[in-house]
Amino acid sequence: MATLKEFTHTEPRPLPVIILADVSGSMSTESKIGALNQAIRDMITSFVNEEDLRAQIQVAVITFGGAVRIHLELQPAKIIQWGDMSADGGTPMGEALATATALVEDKGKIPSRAYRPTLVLVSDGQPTDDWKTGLDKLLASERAKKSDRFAMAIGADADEAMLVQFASDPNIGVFHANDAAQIRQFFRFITMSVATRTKSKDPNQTPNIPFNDNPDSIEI
Amino acid sequence: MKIADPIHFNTDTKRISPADTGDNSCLPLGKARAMRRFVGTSVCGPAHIDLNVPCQDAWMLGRYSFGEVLVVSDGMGSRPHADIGAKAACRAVLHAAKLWGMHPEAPPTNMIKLTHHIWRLLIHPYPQEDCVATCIFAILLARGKMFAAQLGDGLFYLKTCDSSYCLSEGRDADFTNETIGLGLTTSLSDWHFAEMSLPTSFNMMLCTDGVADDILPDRRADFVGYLREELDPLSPRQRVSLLRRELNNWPTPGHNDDKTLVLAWQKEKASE
Repeated sequence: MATLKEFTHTEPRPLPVIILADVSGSMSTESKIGALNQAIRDMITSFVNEEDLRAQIQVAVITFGGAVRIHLELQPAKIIQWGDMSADGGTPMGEALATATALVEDKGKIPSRAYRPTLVLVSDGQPTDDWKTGLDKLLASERAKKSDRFAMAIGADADEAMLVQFASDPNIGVFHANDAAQIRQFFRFITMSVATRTKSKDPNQTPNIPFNDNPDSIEI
Repeated sequence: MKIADPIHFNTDTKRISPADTGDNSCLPLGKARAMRRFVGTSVCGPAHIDLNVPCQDAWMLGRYSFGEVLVVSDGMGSRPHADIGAKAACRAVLHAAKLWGMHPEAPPTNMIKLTHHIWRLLIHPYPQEDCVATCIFAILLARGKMFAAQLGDGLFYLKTCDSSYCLSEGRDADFTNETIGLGLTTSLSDWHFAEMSLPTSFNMMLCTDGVADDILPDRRADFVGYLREELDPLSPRQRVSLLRRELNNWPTPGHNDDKTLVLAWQKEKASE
């Protein structure tokens, strides 16, 4: 006997989380790439362990180091088999931003029934390509400009002025990480922000979660 | 599947050819209307139930000498008086239709303009931006024609013997719960609308995005056909009860939104 279940989606509405990760050569120093890999791995594990969600968290990772690659195709967190990123090459951030914009605009991959995506940009250095064109295109995109956008500057050499333009909430601004612990701290904040959205009455609303930048604190 | 091209208003109003609806023959007025069936309901979604806030969806059905009017509306959740906006949208459409129905040869865009004006009156004294609501309506004229219009997300869907038809394929929403509505625009170019002949047999559905976004796009015909088969043998009261049960037991996991669904169907033979 037929029921409505046959004609309707069997998964909750998606909430995409798209990480743009700087994997340029400088990220291979001071355990930065190791910390980033672990932080993203922990974030994915946390998403998988969340219960009672009103949205299905999906994750994609776009790396930019020498070339731009889709390190992880957009997919539900629960099926992700994480493979570590490696660091090498320049910093083609503009091309990475363009790739992210194309992904957000693709209604085949992120349908209209999805909640607003979260975009996370992480970098430790200066872009080595035309980042302005890529950023302008992202901010002009109807869908991408509606995304929640967070940025983290790793170390003292990151292009903070550029990252500020990427971030969507000027009250939050750019996060700064100077060591592995702070990198993990930032991604715990991202995890909590996304998880809170998936449990709220309207997952499109950005929760107001204060960021505690004390890496020794057990609170986010 | 045929999708109505959006008609952008200018001084030369364009009307969709009825050719794609298949059978264009029309029954005598009384017989056609006697075979039409309607059912509709709204249910509050889990999010609003948890928060003990009123349902922000609304729907209405009006029967007049010139035909029937179906309308659904979804108040924008972030607005403080979204429930008022949605109810006002439905009443505005009925008021406007009663006026326009007296002058059916007038451009159908007049119907949309009237809806905007009457809506603003009905939400008074609240500001428009506090009452934003989507609006989807269909006017089934007794002479066998139909005018349908949509502002914002949700779905108008028409299934005939050999074709299916919807006004908008989600082009107005970038993401769920992010859409246009009354109170945000007064531009006719933000509406999708179409005028066509109604065949002797059809299934029609108007629904808000709480329903529309979870229906598999390639299973819409089956969804509507299944509901018609289940509802047709029942009494009007039983139909409402069954429809409410289906919406309250919505199968998509994590569903959150208020849900409104209005169905209309017409049988080909009076004996069916």
